[in-house]
Amino acid sequence: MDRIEYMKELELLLANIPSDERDDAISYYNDYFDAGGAENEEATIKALGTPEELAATIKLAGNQLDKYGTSTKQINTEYESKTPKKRSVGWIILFIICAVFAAPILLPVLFGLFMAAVAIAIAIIAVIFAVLLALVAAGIGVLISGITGLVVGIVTILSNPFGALVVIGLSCIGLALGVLFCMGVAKIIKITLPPIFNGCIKLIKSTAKWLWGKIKLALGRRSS
Amino acid sequence: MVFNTGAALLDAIVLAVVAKDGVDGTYGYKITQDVRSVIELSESTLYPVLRRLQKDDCLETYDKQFSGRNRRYYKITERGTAQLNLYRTEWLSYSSKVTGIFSGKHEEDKNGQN
Repeated sequence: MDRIEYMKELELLLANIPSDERDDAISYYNDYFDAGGAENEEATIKALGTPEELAATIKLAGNQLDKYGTSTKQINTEYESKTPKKRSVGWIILFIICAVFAAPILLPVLFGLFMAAVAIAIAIIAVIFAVLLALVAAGIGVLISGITGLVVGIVTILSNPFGALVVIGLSCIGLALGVLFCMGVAKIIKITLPPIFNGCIKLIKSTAKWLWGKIKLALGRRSS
Repeated sequence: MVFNTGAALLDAIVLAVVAKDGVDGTYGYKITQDVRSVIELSESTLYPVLRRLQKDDCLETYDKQFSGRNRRYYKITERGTAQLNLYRTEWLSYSSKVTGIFSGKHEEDKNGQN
């Protein structure tokens, strides 16, 4: 392989890097061959390695420049990395001081907000319960009136046969509707109550966990 | 070569080699030969170093005609000189410590033999 073939091969291998980087590298090594002189061409090719190896070195250099910056910057970053730790300790102290000063106002306010949220939650649950209770009561009411009507009808069947039959008929319909209504209410209760119950328990659990986590964090930071 | 030359030391040697050729600087082939007179390194290693120093503003390039061809010259910048002085100071400190511990050991052996 002579120099011209070598450089052609190198240029092909560098096809996938930016053109300005490629031109830079090609002109550098053309200069290199020129400076070495025609008589040293073979020795230079040997010294540079195969075109593949040289191309790899050039590409690696390009990557390293993009990723890791440069050696001079590295010297600076070594000294810089010593400061961040100081910074976070300072912030923690500042935070604690602010917290202590703000506590007299902040804590009651936070507590008040928290209790308000709890009260609202309880109110919502109470409303739901009330509605359910009302439905149950209505259902039971319909049932009772149905049964009562039935009893009245049966009792008066001798004294007022047709009237009694009418009453019995209506009562049966009422009873049937009542039973259906009660079944519907029962289903509603089955669907809505357990999730509400579980939801409350989960909420209480997760709040407790979160609080405990924060306490542990605060304690952990102070001890380190 | 017994000891490995890290990136920083390589940068320092290259900067020193370019600086010693004066304000006009020198070209890639000569830089390579001069560096190879100091440490062993393959001739393909130098190009990435020169590029890095260039990106770092420690070296700058210009073209000059030579034997009818354009030849690229490298010369050291102000920042490069500052960086080189930093390296010089660091090297003095580092090498004297290493020399110190090596010579201290040598003296211990001497005493042990007596």
